[in-house]
Amino acid sequence: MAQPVPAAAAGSERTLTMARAGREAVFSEMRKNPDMFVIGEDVAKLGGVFGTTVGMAEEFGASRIIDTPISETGFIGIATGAAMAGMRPIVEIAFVDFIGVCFNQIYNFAAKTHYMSGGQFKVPLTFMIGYGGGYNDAAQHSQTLFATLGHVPGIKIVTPADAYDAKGLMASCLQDDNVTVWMVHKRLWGLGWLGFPLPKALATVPEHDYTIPFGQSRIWREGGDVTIVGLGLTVHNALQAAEQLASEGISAEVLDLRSVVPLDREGIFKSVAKTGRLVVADEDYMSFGVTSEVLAVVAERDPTVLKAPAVRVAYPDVPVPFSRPMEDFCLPNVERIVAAVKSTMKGKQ
Amino acid sequence: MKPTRDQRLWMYEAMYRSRRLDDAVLAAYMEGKTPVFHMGKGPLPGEMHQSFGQEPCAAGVCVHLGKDDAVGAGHRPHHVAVARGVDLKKMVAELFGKKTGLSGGRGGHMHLYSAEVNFFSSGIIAEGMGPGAGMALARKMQGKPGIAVAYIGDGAANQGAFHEVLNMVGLWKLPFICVIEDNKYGVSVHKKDSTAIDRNSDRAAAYGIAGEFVSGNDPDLIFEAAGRAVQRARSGQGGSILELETERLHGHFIGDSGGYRPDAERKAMKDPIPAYRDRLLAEKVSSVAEMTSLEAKVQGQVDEAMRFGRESEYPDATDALKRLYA
Amino acid sequence: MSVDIVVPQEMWGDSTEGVVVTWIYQNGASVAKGQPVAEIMVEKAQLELVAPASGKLTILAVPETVIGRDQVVGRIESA
Repeated sequence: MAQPVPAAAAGSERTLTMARAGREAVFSEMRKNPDMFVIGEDVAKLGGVFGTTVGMAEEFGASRIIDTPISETGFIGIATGAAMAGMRPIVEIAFVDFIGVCFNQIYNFAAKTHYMSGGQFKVPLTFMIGYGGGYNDAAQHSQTLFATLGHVPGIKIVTPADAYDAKGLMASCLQDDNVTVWMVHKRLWGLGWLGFPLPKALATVPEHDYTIPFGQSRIWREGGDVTIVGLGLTVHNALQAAEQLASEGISAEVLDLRSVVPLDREGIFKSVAKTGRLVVADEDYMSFGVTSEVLAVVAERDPTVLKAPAVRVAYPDVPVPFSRPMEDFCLPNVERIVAAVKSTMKGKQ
Repeated sequence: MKPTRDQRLWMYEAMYRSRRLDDAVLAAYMEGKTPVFHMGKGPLPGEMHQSFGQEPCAAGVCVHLGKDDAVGAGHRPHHVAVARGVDLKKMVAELFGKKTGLSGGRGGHMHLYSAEVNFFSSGIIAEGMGPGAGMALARKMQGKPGIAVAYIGDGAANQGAFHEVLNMVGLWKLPFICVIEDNKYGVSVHKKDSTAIDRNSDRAAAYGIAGEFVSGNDPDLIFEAAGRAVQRARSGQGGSILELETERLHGHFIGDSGGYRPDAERKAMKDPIPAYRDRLLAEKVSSVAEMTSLEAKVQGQVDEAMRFGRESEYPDATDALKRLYA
Repeated sequence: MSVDIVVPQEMWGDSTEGVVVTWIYQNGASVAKGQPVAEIMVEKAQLELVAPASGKLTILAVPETVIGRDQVVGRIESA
């Protein structure tokens, strides 16, 4: 079920970037759990390539904020074993594209050990991962790969679209006893060198601790004519599209999945049953991915709720091209979402 | 440091138990698979990588380990699991895929887990290196005693994980031992055709850790070298590679005839267990009567475990969907 | 009394220009000394600006504006 964001408390409200909000959750859990540590490349002195660990080495020291050699298979395996032995590691993989070099350790051992051991071993392991393109970083540094990670059983995956969700979802990941992945689109961190923060990615974040459940989507904007499902950056594109469409008399509901695994199938279906039209926007490659899964939800439950075929606005099935006009063409941008919505409205009474 | 009488008998018993288990498992495995060999048929389906000949590698190291330690094995785990003290009945039940198995039938032969004795095995080559070293790291971070040992084969020493993990073991001085069971074969490929150097123990220098090579597949010699590596780890001096020359008496898995091996080479292989028995008797460490009694006891345990495995119930099919997450 | 908020000298390195990325508190908010109040970017580094005093915040340099060394980006009025 999608839940509205609670109203911010009055007074000295803080508007945080997603990077800062995520860090707050990590600081809080690290202070509570002496068994928790961070491990990865550039996490100690640099504070993380995307600012995931700024200030942590100063507070927790080198024994708990561990810079590693460039050995993902090695340190993810090590983190897994440490988790099996009672620790709570947080693993930084700056770019999701790098899961290739270490995917075996993630999907074949970490994700499966709780199941394969019949519950004897837990693997409370959280990954912090950056993804996404749109700033000309080309094919090997711009991918999204929700489907690649989401496809294999044993992993929970969340992707917040604003700072409030970033903190709550990070806390949920860190408190969970399974392999959890917290993924943030690089253009949403709030780092100046990746583009100024999108206004809606910044959010009022309470100082106290809170969690957001897995598998709970969020409706950012209610509407009656069409459901636009998005996640991460495409939520923001969808919101802009919805503004534009509103001025043309089309009322779009924007639903943020927030959680790839588990997927809020109830929330998706409820919204689409209400509006009767579905556009799903995802920056991951189109085929065999999140967009397919969202369509499957509706097709399996009751395709007759659809007044028009569903439309997928996803990355085409090509590697991310470097050249700006080509990359911009491929991104699931506002124009493509608007066009997709309009195509579902043809013949509307 | 040489083994005591008790330790030598412990090692013999561990090897004998592993061997009697593997003999029983072989017979059970072949049920339903003749005349046509189909892996999925019979009461013990799937792949089966047995440990015939490699038992000294498990016994000679595990004799030094206690409840604070952790052990990881690979796709050929039985002798290591047995030497580690994994519950034999639950282990056999797991091989049969029964609900009374270590993992309720979810793991199977290559994925044997026992939290009770801090043991795990994994089916991907060298995949257990990282987790093993991670268990060593956890003990260090928690200020707890205990070391970790991960078993791999000679072929695994060419896998990326080997190098990455050992570099970190050296860098962080982790109390970790990588035991390489050098049976000279990665399935069908001989070590000389896969590895640029003769001894993987020499690679230890690349990681700033100790390396020792032990030839002869001899439990007493393995005991001594393992003792040194264990002592190093326990005293905070860091990690080791322990490369143990051993013999893979059978094929890579049941069903592999090993036809790629020269006949002369196969004929020259020696079974280490009768050889050790003979030595213990010759040196009067034990008597025929004591040995016979020990062997009968072990056979009884193996028979009981096999019976338990066969007679236990299968899990409910829908159990497959449960308990994915903690 | 009023305390200026400037980007500390040691954060500038050899640069002479930076940019305000975001303010953590709104104009008029009560802030405490030592709390991070803004994020600015100098070269490629994202840096944190902390409140030099406790009191009411006045924002002078808004996000996405370029700032120079020694520029006063905000003020804190203590009661």
